[in-house]
Amino acid sequence: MLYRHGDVLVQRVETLPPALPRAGATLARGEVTGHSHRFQDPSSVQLFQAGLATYVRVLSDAAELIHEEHATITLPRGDYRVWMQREYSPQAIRRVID
Amino acid sequence: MTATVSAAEARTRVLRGEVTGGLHFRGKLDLSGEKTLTSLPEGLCGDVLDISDTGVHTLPETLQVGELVARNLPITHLPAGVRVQFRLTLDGCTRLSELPTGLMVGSLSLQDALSLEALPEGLDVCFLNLSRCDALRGWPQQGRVRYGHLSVRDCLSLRELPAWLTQIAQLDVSGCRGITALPAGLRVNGWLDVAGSGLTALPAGQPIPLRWRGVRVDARVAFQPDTLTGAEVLAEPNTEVRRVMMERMGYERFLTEVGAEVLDRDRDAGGERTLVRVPLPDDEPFVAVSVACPSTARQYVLRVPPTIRTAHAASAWLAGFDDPSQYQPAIEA
Repeated sequence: MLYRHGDVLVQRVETLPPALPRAGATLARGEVTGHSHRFQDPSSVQLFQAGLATYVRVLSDAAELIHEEHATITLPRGDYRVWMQREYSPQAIRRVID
Repeated sequence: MTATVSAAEARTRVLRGEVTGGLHFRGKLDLSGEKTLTSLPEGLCGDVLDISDTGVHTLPETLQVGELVARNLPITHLPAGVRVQFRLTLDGCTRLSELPTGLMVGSLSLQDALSLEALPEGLDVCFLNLSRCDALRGWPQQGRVRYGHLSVRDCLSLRELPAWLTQIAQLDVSGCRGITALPAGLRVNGWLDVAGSGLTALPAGQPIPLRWRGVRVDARVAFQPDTLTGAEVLAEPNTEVRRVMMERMGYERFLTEVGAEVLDRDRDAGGERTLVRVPLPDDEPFVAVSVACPSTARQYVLRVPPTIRTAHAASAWLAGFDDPSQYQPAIEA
């Protein structure tokens, strides 16, 4: 199950990989506009970090993902991988290949 | 008396757990990637130590090295007794939240230290890399970054730079929306990267060379993008500068001014979606998808690889899927 909240993507995963818990309820990398993609009730989620990959475990029956400019998305209990939309530029891609 | 051994011998002894009572090594002791290594012996001292990607979760107070490379460790703090002389690299230590008061080292890199909210009092460095420290808000009352480089790239929570910052060679504030001014007494000798920051003009009286995510640009490209024209963009011979100019004037206005060929058209949650193409002189074509946000109805134009042929494949690529059939969002908001 894949959800798109603006430039943040959230996908259900079967199992959480080896990851360490992380504080907060803000998917901070979505904060490029100064607004933030975050969970309404911080106690409803636990964030995890596996290297630079972010995961979220929804601890209650449902958790509401909110943002100043986007409609709320309600995530059911479960584990999810979170990532940001990418953008193309010839220069950036060259840098990645280097 | 602490024995002095080669890095190779030190490696063998540390991995076998044979070190007690201190060990002095010469050269580079590379223990990176040793997942089973969870701690270091007391009294380890030497030239260069690399413990990146190991399971080391705390560092001994007695560690003393010239250079310490400690990327991607699960550590939460750096003990006060640890001494690193030249270069300390703690990139990717995403749980790191505390550094010792008076930390002094030539070069300090804390890229992707996502949990770090504040730097320690009395920090004293020449080079400081804080890229993508998302949670960093606070600066110490007293500190020094001496004449070197400071990168706070994509520090999304930062609202200012410290007043004690007086002279540095290179400053990268790109992505720091919250930074709208530089400290009054700050002099930047080399260059200033302002891409996506809150700065709207050059600091008064300082003709600092500007960069936009590493690309040299002039103040008009950086701060007066409304004055750029599509014709000017197409006439710009440097492909990197042209890319920044397109981004600055906005892809939507660029497309309107230069005229674009529509490659594909369909509908998604936001309404009509089009894939367009503009040939560029001496460069790969500009291919972009124009979409509307389903929540705000605002129009976005996003650049995609020039090999993409359909609007759906473009949206899938943006979402991180190279195989368009994998991209079937259940809810979009």
